[in-house]
Amino acid sequence: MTKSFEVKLNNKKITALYGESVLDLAKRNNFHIPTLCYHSDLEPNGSCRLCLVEISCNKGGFFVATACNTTVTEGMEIKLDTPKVKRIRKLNLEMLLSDHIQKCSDCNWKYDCELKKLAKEFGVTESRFSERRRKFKIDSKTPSIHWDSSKCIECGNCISACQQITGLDILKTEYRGSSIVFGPKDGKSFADTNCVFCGQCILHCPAGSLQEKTELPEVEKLLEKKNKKNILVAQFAPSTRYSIGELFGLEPGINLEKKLITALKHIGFDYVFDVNFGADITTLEEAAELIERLESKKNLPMFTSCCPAWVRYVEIFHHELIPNLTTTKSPTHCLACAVKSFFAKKIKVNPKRIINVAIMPCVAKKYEAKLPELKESYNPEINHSLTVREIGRLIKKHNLDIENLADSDFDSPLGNSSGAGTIYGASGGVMESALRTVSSQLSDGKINKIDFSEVRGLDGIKSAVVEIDGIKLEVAVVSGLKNAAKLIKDLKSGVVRYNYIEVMACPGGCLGGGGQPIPTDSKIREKRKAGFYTDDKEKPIRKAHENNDVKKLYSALDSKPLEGRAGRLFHRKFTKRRKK
Amino acid sequence: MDIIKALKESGLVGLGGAGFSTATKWQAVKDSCEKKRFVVCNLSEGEPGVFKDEFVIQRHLSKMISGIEIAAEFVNAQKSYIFLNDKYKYYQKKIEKNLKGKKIEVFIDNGRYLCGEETVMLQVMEGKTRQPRLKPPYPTNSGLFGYPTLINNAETFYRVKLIADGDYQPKRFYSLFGDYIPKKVVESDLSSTVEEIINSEKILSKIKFARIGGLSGCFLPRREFNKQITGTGSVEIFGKRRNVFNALCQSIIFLKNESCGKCTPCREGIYRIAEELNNISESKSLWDKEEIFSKIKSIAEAAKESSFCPLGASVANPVISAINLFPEDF
Repeated sequence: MTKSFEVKLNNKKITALYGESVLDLAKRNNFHIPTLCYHSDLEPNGSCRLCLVEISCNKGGFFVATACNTTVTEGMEIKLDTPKVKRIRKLNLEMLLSDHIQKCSDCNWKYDCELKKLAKEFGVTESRFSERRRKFKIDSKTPSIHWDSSKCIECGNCISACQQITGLDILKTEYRGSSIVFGPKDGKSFADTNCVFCGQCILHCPAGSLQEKTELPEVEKLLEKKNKKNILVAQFAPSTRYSIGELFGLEPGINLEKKLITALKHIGFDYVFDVNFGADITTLEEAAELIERLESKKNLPMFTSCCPAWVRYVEIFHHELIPNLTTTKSPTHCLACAVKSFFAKKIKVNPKRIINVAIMPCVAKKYEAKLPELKESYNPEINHSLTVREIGRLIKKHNLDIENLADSDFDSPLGNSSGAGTIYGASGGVMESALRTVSSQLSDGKINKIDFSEVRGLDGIKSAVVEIDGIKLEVAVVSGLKNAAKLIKDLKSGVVRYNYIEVMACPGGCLGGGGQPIPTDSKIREKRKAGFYTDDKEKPIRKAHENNDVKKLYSALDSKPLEGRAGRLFHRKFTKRRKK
Repeated sequence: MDIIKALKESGLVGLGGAGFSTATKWQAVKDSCEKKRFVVCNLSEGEPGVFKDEFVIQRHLSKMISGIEIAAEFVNAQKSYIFLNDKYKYYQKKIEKNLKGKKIEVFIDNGRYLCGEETVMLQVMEGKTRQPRLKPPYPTNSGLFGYPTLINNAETFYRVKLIADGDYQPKRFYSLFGDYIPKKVVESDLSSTVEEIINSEKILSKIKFARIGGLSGCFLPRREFNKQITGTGSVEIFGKRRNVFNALCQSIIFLKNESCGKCTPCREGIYRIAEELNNISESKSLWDKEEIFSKIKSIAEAAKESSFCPLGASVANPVISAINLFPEDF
């Protein structure tokens, strides 16, 4: 079987690889074929019919085909941009545009719209057809997702993402033909389904039909500072700083934290703290909890619980695993509680005056912030959670050229983080942070290992065995909720055995989250990931338990991890949820 | 007997409309790598103008079932199915009586035209979305539940049995109906023309046009009735007082209702053609009509060339033939 063979593209002989599509072949050779519904994360749906080419097989006649799902074969001749192809794809786009009501002003794609780019490329200035989407549904009933079917172009990516990445079956098609609706099962709301709000459907929607439920109007109102008593605190996730630049034309993986802090202060925030600091708190609490469970041999394996979509998944589908979740709150909420307790006391302010706004690569965080169990220490702990996309729109609205702003630092005393806190956004980061602390504590400081590279990387399931002073710790790291389902199945059937498992619903971890800039694909996730580990290496402190500011926090709280005030502030309960 | 040799020599092709070589298809399934195989008899006959498979159930049921058994033995099938449109539910008892003791099962579905497309039929049998799958891979390689599956039309299986018995003649069933004629199935040569099928000067003299191949097929004016009938073998005749425009609207409304909605040129295109046909009936000037014709024709071209499956592609048949041959009827 030859692995490569020759084909002709635009009358030039080029080498094709066995099994690749015409689109892959063109991309590899720097030929441009316009696409709309194609996404490298998913099996090609072949629904938009815009990536047209003309091909001939074995000296037969030429016929029109779609490049995304046609496999290259020996003896194939491919022609791009023929007059026929141009004519037909222009008409297909024209029809799609009249299938989509333009609500550009608050669309996620506002600055980067694929439909508009293609219209420009194909020369479609206006559609000769009437808008046919007036009878549209808007579903805004959940805290995380905003679904507007008037913008849907029926590409099917949302269903593919939910099935192929998350492994759930939340979205379906209703009706047929031109009446077809792609949306939550039975055409109802997402609130009536078992959706866990991972937001992967949003990330793969090319038309802005699925977006996050925006909290920008409320946040903007707060920033206007009508109420002089409010103290506005912003906090952003480990991932946020490496992807915010993409919204301004920069490469993924560049750390723009110092510029982002300046931008946030400029638009009205009084203080900016680092969720990486919160991550260090989470590591300390979680490490302590793991050590306690290893000793008591109860409720093992322990699962992480900083991913709200994963937690919701357990609460709906695996009630029996709820005792295995760590009770430690997510980094955002640990930090938020530290703000409203420790920091409020420091600046002598009633915590009720503090407004915490989190900026996350996540849409499930919007749902997490509203959970009653995360309003027990303060009501609420996080007042608003924005996605990276939302803060991008807000910054642009203020006309800030983020690249050229001056540098600012995080505010003290909740701004310094260790390398362990930095890597939380990458799949394996929570695990590695915990291992750095656990290995040191279990060995009474003898083991000082920092790098646990076996748990790094974008693979869906990773595992490792860590030897600590005679104790064998078997760990696993999962990203992509579909992989979590497989792992749970293997765990239950005894195929695998672990003591501690990190689960992130989004591929690659939070860096591939539902609130991240669009597009997000494997190349971009890889670039974002590089940023985390580069910065981790350069941090003076790389372990959570060596973060002096965290030590000061605990000393001020007058407690140790898991106990007393820390036990109340940094731990939470779970709820069994009914499967719909 | 060497059934594959006999099939090859007879030149039998699928009689569901696509006309693919039966021997080649059978051999492909037999040669496939998987040990598990299936045979499915596609009796969805969703096209309203085609009723020859019903005729096979009524008159030649046991031969059809024998044909399925011959296929199952040749490809070594685990199990066989008869995919029955639920508009033929009436025949289910009769069919199942004839299946006693055989490894053949009836699968009933509420039909709908698209199930004539073999991958949609497989989707339905597997309980999945009623939308076509990408080909390749073909069902002969990856069909029911991913296994090699031999899918043939009901009449094809009947003809297979005739071949096996040495009784085969190169004929097929044509579905004939319309004005001045009672609905009937005519058995005639494979190369029959429209004139030969109608076979009556008196009736021929009263006809203005015919629709060949059902609601997804072409319109043919009287003067072209010496053409051979291809596809599903359906002939619907229209008298002199009839209007092609109305018949075209009927075709388009049908295709619009049957479209699955997956791809742009079919879902959007057929919707827009229906919209434009509405505009034509309201337009007064010839200039407006010409503009609408050209819009419709370009949508039909896009559908023909770039649709995901044959339903979208077929919309060009009624549209282009009606506009080109009978513009005065609009």
